[in-house]
Amino acid sequence: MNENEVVLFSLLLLLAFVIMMLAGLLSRALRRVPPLRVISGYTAMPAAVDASVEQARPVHVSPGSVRIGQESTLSALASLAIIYNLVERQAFMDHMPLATVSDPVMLVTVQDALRKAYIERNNRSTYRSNATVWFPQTERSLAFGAGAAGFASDVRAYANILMGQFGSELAYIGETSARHNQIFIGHSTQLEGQAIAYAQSDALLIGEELFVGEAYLNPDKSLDVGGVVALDVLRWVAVAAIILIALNQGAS
Amino acid sequence: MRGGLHLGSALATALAIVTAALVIVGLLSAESTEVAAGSDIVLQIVSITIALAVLVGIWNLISVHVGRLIRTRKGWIYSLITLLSAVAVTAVYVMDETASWTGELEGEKLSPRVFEAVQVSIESALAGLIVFFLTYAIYRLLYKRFTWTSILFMVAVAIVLLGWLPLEDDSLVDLREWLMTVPVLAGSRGLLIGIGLGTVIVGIRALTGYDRALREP
Amino acid sequence: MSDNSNFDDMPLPDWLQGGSFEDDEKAKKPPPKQDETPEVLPDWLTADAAPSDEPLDAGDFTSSGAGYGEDGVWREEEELAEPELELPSLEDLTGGVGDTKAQGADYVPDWFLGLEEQNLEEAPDWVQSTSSVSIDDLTDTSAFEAEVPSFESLGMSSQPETTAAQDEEVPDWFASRDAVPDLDFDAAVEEEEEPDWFAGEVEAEPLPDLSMAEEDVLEDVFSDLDLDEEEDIFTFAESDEVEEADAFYTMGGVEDEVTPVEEKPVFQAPQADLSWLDEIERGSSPAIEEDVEEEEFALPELSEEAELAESEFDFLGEAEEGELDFATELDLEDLGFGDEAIEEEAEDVGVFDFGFDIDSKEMEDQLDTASDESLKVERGGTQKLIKDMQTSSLDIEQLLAFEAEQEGAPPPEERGLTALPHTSSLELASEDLFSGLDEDLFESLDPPVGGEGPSLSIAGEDDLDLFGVREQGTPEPRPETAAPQLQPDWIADLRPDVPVNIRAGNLEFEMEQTKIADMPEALRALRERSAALSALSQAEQTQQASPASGPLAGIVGGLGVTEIAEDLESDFQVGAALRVAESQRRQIEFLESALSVVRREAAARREGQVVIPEAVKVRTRARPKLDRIVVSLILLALLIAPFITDGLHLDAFEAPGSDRLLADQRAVHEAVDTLEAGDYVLISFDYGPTAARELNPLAEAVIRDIIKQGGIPLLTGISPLGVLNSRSVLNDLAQDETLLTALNRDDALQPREDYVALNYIPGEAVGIRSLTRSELAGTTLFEVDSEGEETGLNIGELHNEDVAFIVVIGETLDDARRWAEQLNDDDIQKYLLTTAAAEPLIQAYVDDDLAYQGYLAGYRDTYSYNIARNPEALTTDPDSDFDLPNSSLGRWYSLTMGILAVLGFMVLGLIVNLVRRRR
Repeated sequence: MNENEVVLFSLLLLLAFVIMMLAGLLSRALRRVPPLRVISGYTAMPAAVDASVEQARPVHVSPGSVRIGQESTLSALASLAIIYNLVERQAFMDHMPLATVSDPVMLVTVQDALRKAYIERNNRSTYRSNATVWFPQTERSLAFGAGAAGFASDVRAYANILMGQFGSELAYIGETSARHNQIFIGHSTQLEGQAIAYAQSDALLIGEELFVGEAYLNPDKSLDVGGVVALDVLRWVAVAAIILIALNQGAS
Repeated sequence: MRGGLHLGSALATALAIVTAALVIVGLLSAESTEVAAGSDIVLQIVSITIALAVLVGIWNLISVHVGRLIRTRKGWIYSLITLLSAVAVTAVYVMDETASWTGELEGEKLSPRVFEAVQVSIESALAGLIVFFLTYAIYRLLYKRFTWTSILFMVAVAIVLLGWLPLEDDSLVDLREWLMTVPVLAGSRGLLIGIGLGTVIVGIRALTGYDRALREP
Repeated sequence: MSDNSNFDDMPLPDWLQGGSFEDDEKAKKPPPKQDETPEVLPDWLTADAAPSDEPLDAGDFTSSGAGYGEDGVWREEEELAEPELELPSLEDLTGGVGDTKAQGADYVPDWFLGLEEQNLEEAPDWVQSTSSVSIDDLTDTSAFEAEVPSFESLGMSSQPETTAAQDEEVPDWFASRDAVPDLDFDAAVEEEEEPDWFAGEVEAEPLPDLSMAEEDVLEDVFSDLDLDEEEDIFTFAESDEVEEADAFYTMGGVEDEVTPVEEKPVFQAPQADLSWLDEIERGSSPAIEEDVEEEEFALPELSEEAELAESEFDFLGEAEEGELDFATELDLEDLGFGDEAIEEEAEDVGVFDFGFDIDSKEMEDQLDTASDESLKVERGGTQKLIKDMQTSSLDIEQLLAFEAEQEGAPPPEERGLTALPHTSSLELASEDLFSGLDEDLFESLDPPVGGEGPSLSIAGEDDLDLFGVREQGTPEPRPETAAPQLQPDWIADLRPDVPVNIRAGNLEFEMEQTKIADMPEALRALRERSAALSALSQAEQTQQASPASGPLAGIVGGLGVTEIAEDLESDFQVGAALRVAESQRRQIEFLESALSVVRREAAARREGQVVIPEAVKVRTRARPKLDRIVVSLILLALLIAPFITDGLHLDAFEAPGSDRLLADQRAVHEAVDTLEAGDYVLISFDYGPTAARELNPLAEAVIRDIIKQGGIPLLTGISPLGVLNSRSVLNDLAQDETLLTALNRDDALQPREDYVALNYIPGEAVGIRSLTRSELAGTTLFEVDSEGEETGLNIGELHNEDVAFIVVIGETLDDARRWAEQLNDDDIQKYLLTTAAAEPLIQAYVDDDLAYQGYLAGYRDTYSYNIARNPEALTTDPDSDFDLPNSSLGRWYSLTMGILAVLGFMVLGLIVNLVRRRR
């Protein structure tokens, strides 16, 4: 990175940090969550989990082919937070959800998240580590898509909630969801998977909405709400910067 | 198990924060600095660790499928096939590396052939099925959501597909070219920028030790 | 105030109303005078006492402090309005027992205390208005001196020893008991009339046959308690000595002269009272066909020297702890009446609530004649009624009426049966406290039992004689009592804190009620309004009690079941009044299947079968979707047809030639043209097996051209799978005859000479970045190939002079972005080979000096590249008996047909959904 890029990146980090902290502190001081726009995906996810509890059927969650230690690490962390919230919501049940991953490091991380969720609900005895299944890896692994879809069908999952990095393998899970009348909520940080998710998903979640899942599913956490505000501010800053640069280049 | 500060959790969080800060500073620093060298070493350690994590995944795969086989859960036959295939491919690769083939196969390496014959064929076949799934999905798109964005989505798909066809009329080709270089490019860049900004937010959460993965329940 | 009579006649002012009934009880009363009938019991407890005709009101029992006024609003003491009702005299309240005439010389009423210190001028008007009032008069306590009777006047030979504690603990109305060591029960029975509520017995009817079908469970149960060895109040064995005297339950007073009991009084068996139960069982016929042996009971003989019971309430005698305890844990199950039988009977009858809580054990106590084997409970009869009484929501009158209706018998009121008083099991124990009270008063204390209905009360022998003495013979018929009237509000306000049983299906739990007096005004008004509205006819109540079928069958009190949803056969129902979503229908199916499982298990339990928990089976088999099948078949046909016939090889979709290449595609051609012999080209296989079928031909086409130009491809990748794939491609290419022919050589391509198969780059983006920043990383990659042999390449950090250009073969945008971003500050040229799906997305990294200078995408560019630069590579089909089109052409036109099919289905879907929406 050249010097300008270093400076810009540092400023970006600093700005995000300050806004996140300020917004979080303000939210806590006012004891009020700023109005968040409705994201249908985050409205549908808890409802799907609740319905799966009603039906006494497990829910299938997956972060896709995100990998800890690679460039999709932060996407993995964001997916992990959502998975934790959803699993914790139904962790009082006597059965485990199904979690499928395509990365071995993610395997251990998701297992830990599930364990924490069941501990949170004082239901540690129900937790089983083999509820998280690893399918052979690499990105865009159709074997992962077919295997996850098959497992979800075998365990009679009520809902398939897939948030993370997916490619065309997402189509498999969407297809089996339609065939077995399962709820399907999909999202991908990759454009190919996002397009498939848009076409097949029952509720929409697009792009960076993955990273605000913690705030929507757990709005009482002030710092997460601060992150939503920071993301919006950064988005507007980026828009403004693009316009200014375009105008500048046009003028020059 | 709420409340209280667990020493192990605190140490893990502190280590994560310190390491992340070191790597960031090293990436932003000049290449000849010691901080940059230190961050490179950390990244290389991460790469090696990740490579070893494959063993963890293999163990999980074996345990899950053996469990389904023993309990004869639904789909146990596929678990049996999976286990047998894993054993067979491992044996083939070991024999390749140890040059254990005899007879006509002596000196041969069968793992690439197995890979191409099985893996590539199966994955290609699976990829070919996607066209059926997506065709049905696009056919049912308006049944799910009859909105202007869905109609716009379908129109964009139509333009891209029609522009791909080598028709005599180049207008569709030009339209497709414009569509890909302007709206699609802008949209994809916007999405990627947003994802990038989101990763910044999550990164800050991880740097401050607030991320879910670093917290105890 | 020396004239007590004047004092007694004067109405009490407000400030004198501080004395409560309990306070009056504490005041000791004088013993009965000689000329009066010895009062063992206070007047108000005996039948002689003429109850006040005026109903008691709240003022009788409330203090003059803060409280609820007439309008129900809480007011402080000074705000409390004076009750409009005339207050009864103390004598009415206490029957003369709570008289201010104290028994002891030191007694003064509370209001009198400190009076001598007051100023007369500050006294109320009524004090000052008296003619002869003075402080001395007011403070004269001689009026309160007790007239202590002599024991001789009471017929006692000696003064029983009393302790101070006893004097304090024994209530004043009961204190006279001390002077009565012996009781003549016969005299008491003869003298005293039976209380009104106890009178009016109908002609004794034969006792029902209470024999059990199998064994005497009662006996088995009570045998554990060794009742035969102990005194049983219900089965009074002959006893010469009576250990305790409980004159409280002699149903009357005692004679002046207490004489030893010579004859055993015979009691009416409690179970004789159950003829009304038997009537229910037999169809409400007054005539009981079966003869039942009538049991006789006798009180224990009283000894001359009666000993006080330890507690004045130990009317059960000196029963040992645990015996005959009304709070026993026994229930019908212990008595051999299983739930299945009861539930089955309850199901047949329906669910009724008698409106009062009576536990089964208490009912069994009433039925108990443990020493008599003949008195056995008939299975299916009384237990059925007991269960109905426990679980029903109607009162007993309504139950009987229902039974009558079911069996065509006259309603209970015509049979001279009246309802049990509405009271709890605990209150039943203390029912005798009210013996002697006016029947109307007694009934007025009963809370309403759910509206009008025939009242069922005990009459004569039908009455449940719990603790009392019943005269043998035919008692006088008891006049029919009217239906219980709605009690005055003040009575309801004073209801004790008795928890109410709430039943819902098979669930039952107790809930503490809020006193009506403590309720807010709005809530009280609502309560009154709801009580008025809830007075439904029996028919309506029965009808609403429980639906006959459906998921709410057997559940009382629920909302009515209405068909609110239509089950849709398909998703395309048009014009339906109410639509049920697919997810809702699945939920309904699940609930119905769960209920069916529950019903089956319940039925199995009733039949006594072993219940094996079964999982709720939900059909998850997907229904075949016709449109999906049609779409798939048509698409499959269009994709396969071009390989079979050239009829679909439309000229309009002929593959483009080199003259129609775009600039980005042409750049790749030109880059390969600039290669010189010995130039290295780094080729990264960054795709997996999923895209192999699409990208392998493209990679092969470009590598073939590179080799023909003299370049040396350096094959690597970011994953082991990519490296494996690269080896597979080169293995095929190395032995390709067309290539070898083009190279004018016969031997296959040799590794480390014609091409180099390197290891993969670990760390993905980090590894790629390290190539141009780390000497070690470069050396590690280029020094040794995948077979472990040295390559001879002297490349450390990768620079533009080390390689001619880099070809990245990737199937997604990330694959393209990775190399573009990590190597964007170098002068190394990069070209991209990608899939048709990623083509629209990689535009951002093309035409950028720092990213890719050109790209090729999909089979279209593969075909066009081969046509332009590798014509020998076009597939030559082997000879075949079938006239099949060229496979390469077939593949091209198959691709074209697929695209057209997708477009067609997209338009079809648009039209179909538009039409559906319009409808």
